[in-house]
Amino acid sequence: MDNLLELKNVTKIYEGGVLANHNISFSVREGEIHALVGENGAGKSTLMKILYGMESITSGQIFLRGKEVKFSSSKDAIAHGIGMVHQHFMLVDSFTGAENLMLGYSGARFFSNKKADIEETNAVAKKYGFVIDARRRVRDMGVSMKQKLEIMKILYRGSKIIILDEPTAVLTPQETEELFERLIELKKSGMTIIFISHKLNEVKRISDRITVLKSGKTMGTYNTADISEEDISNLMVGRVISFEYDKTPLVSGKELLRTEHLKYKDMFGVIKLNDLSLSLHEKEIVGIAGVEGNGQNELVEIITANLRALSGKVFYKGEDITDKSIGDVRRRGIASIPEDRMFNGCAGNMSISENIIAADISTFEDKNKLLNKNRIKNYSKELIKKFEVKTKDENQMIKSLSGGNIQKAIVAREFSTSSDLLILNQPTRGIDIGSISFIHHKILEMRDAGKGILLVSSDLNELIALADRILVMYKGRIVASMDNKTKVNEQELGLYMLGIKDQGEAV
Amino acid sequence: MNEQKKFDIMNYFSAIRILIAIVISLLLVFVIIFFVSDQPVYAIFKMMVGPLQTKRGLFNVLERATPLIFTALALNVSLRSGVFNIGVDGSFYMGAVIASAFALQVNMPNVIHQIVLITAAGIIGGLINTLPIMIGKYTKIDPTVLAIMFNSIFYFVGLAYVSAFLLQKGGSWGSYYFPDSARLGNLIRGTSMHWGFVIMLFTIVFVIVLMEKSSFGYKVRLTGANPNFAKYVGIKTVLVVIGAQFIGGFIGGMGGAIEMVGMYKRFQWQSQVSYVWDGLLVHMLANENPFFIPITAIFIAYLRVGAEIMSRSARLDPEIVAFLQGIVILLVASERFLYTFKKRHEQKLSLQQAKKAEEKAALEGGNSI
Amino acid sequence: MNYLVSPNFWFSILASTTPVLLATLAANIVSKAGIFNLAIEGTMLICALTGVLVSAFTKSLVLGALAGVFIGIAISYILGYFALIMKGAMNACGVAINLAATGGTVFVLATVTGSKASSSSLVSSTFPNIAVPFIKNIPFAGSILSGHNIITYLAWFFTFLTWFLLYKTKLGQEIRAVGENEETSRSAGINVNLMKFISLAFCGVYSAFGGMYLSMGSLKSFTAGMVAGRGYLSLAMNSISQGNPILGFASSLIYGFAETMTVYLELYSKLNLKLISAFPYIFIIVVLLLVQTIKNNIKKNRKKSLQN
Repeated sequence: MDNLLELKNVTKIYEGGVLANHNISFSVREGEIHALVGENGAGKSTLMKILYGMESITSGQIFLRGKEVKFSSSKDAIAHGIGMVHQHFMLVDSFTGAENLMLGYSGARFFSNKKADIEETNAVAKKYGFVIDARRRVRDMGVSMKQKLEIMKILYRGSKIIILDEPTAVLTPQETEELFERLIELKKSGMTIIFISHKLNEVKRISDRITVLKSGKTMGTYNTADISEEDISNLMVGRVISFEYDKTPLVSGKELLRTEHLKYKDMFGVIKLNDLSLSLHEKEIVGIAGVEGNGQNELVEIITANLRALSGKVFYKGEDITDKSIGDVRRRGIASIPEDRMFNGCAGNMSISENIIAADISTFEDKNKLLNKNRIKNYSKELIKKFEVKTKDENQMIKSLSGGNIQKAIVAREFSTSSDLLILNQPTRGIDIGSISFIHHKILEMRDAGKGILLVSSDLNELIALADRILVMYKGRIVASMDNKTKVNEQELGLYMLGIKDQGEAV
Repeated sequence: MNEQKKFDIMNYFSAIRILIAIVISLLLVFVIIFFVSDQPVYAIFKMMVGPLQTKRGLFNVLERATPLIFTALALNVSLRSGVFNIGVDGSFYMGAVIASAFALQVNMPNVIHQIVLITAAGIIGGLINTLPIMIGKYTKIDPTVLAIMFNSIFYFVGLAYVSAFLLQKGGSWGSYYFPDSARLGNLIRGTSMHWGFVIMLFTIVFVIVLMEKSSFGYKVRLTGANPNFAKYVGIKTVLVVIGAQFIGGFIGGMGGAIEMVGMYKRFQWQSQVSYVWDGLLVHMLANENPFFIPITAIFIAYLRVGAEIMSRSARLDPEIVAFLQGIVILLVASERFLYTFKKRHEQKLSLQQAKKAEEKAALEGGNSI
Repeated sequence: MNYLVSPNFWFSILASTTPVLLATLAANIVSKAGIFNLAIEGTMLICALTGVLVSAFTKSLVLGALAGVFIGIAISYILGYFALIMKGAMNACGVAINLAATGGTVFVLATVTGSKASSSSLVSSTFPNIAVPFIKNIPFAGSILSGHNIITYLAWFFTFLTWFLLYKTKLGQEIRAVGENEETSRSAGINVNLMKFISLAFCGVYSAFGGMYLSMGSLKSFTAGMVAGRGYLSLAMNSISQGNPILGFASSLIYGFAETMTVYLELYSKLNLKLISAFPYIFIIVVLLLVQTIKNNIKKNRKKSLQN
């Protein structure tokens, strides 16, 4: 088979000097489903955005049917028959389904005709066997309908190559199954599909060939039939994916945190927390598992006072802290690491030391409310050393560090306060394996030092390696509570996460 | 660890960037002069060297710099909290009005009189500067727009107050003459250097300490750099922002009062004096660092005085400086100005790092065999 | 308060609405493309002067108007270049243009005419007033709606044009998509910057007519600083109307009303003149607060009904 699409030595350096892709070469054959696998932050999405013309390349070449192409925008990519479904859907929320289908379409009429557009949309849906509501605004659509709309957009534009970026991350098992059937049909009709995922079982099931990416570089392309899941994961992380740590046996102490009957609905009226109660003790790591968007973030935000529950209570060391401010909660001894480090985990344009002191500014104040420069300098130097943050010095701007080092600096800040409870939301997302294992060791150190830890993670291996107890959240409820003394079965966790199994009221 | 620091031009990138922006805009102004003047070289000479030629010219520069320093310091505190609020202009104008009112309508002994009128101007100025933010927060309207509206409102209100209560009948438009007890005495005989100059020096030190050394300044900067993060670590960002607006407005109001009772014998500001734009320029050229504000303020004041000298001797309108202001702000505000230079440097650096990491990995791999 | 029922009063409202309406339309179309253009004020000022100067020297109204429009687009593109291509802070770039406009127009005026205050020494063209056939004969309404400057009617047409463009054409749909979600638009193959520059061109044209209405319509010459904050107010009007030109027209009428009231108050009331000058601004801030309070209430009710 001929190579339909070929990338040669593609390098991408983002503004600020982040190296996302480094000398990547790989090719895609006509009519295959080609999977691109790699950990978060391995450079998959960047690579696909390059293919789709949304990011420019710093160096390298792209060939389509043997001819070199240069995409300066998605328009070029679309014109060459490439379409993409992004991880975060690219739809205009206030527009209807029909309007989104027509948006940017070169054949659309200059003078809008609502009725004709809706008819056209329905016709397209019928042709490919999708069920969507052309009149409904995107903000009122469910995830699955949005995804169908995205795929329809691509088909409508006559694309022959479809890129799907983590399409199953947001789908239920049934929806995933439906998607796979559709993809196989599309393949049969001559489409070429590039499928990005880090779920190896899915990749094994649906793809013909697999290219593995690791920290911005390719680790080779393989026939799916010739390679085992273990081999793929070895290539992805450079060693066996599961983490093994020597853990001291659990001797949990007093109760630190208790939530009672927490309820929350988001601004669209979707139930995010449904009568959620849990408790956490000293010297204990409680893991929260769940498909993203099942209320984990809301739980964390309510405990740390970043969000107010509709009803229910939060107690810390027996004290009701439900209505306390963020600062009050922190001062009482709850430290936390947010999900998105650049959004609210640090101030990118400030120095490392200015970021490191943020969690407890008052300890660096003189009696005149002036900051003690020497104390700050020594403290930052000490933390940089202790947490192995790789940097020129403590005055370097934090955004110029690598993701792993930024995260280590944030961990350093939150782990070095006198807090007794640590709330960690995806503490190792998108960082290199070295930093991950370093942070894991620090988490276990904290546990041994007597702190209680609530660990929310979408990485099941991380949860199984670290947690003493794993709670599974599904649609705002805890559907399972599992003792992790002897390692929990990942498959079983999966069944609870997808809502197939439920321990019911017993939890 | 190797503590020796290598010279790295990137450390001075922002300073070099600002200097190049100034040079480019000066050149453009020169080009304009060449087009419209029949004696361009003489005009440029007068503009650039004029203020140095007389003692009066030099003191003029210092006088001119004083209100600019006050507004720039005020903006330094309020803008660094991350909002583009230029309500300081209203603070400054009303500061002058309040000072005039206290000077003329309240009898007090010397020294106390000045202290009271400057403090009152500061408090009112502070309150005025918080208005655009508070109403902006409520109505979700850009605080810049609201600030400009409020600046007009306070200009008219101030003017109305002076016309209604302080106006001297007959002669040119203006208030009664201030009593001596309200004025700031001269520092140096034969010049208009007044005690306000000393207050200004204290204010400079105060802003440097507040913004760079104090925990409040740190909170302001943190909020400005990333409000989500500031909130996340428990800072009450709304209070910090409003606090910064009040302090900024206080300094602005004080500046207006000092300018009024220091430089003038009576209130005669019939137009919107608008020092805020020059102040903004000074603040931006100082790279948002209060330490450099006096220098950049003197630079802008120098250009202003130079342009006036030029206009007298070469008959070119001094408003030509406006072109320079506009171009400098455009260039300094543009992230991408001289960006390719920085980008190349960053790319080189990150490829070097990647190569180093590879070599290290190769080395470790070799060892393990 | 007899003037409230005189047609003259209502005629003046429409007349003084015109420049703000044009500025609001300018703000509408760029805000739909996701641009916050503080420079409308400065653009109007520069165009007001350009129109006067070019028409005075060419003795041609058409050439003056064309020059004004051309410069209006050019100034908008300068903002676009620095804010979009050079990634400058949008507010700061707007401020820069306004500064250069305020001082620059005085400089040019002084260099050309020798006067820093006004262009009255030049003989410049003006846009004609139009008596609309049939409508002018309707009692009361006729004397309100007919006899306006041609730019006023042009502004009404632009209101419809902008609305039609934004909501009834592919171009408008793409502009709105860019304003709402840039990343999505880029992914749909829309040239984001092209859309922004197209909307900036409209913004330039509208600002130009807004400026020229002041110096070649309601007045016969240019005076320094004659835009007097209308460009800034348009941004507030735009917030009230949320970018919708029809609502933009309605909110501009609020300004027209406030300004006309000011003129009548100055004539007929015994209040301090300077204080009355602040009236439009205070009136608009009060309206803004009211509008927001109503919006908040609606939102609160909606949230309540969703969460229960």
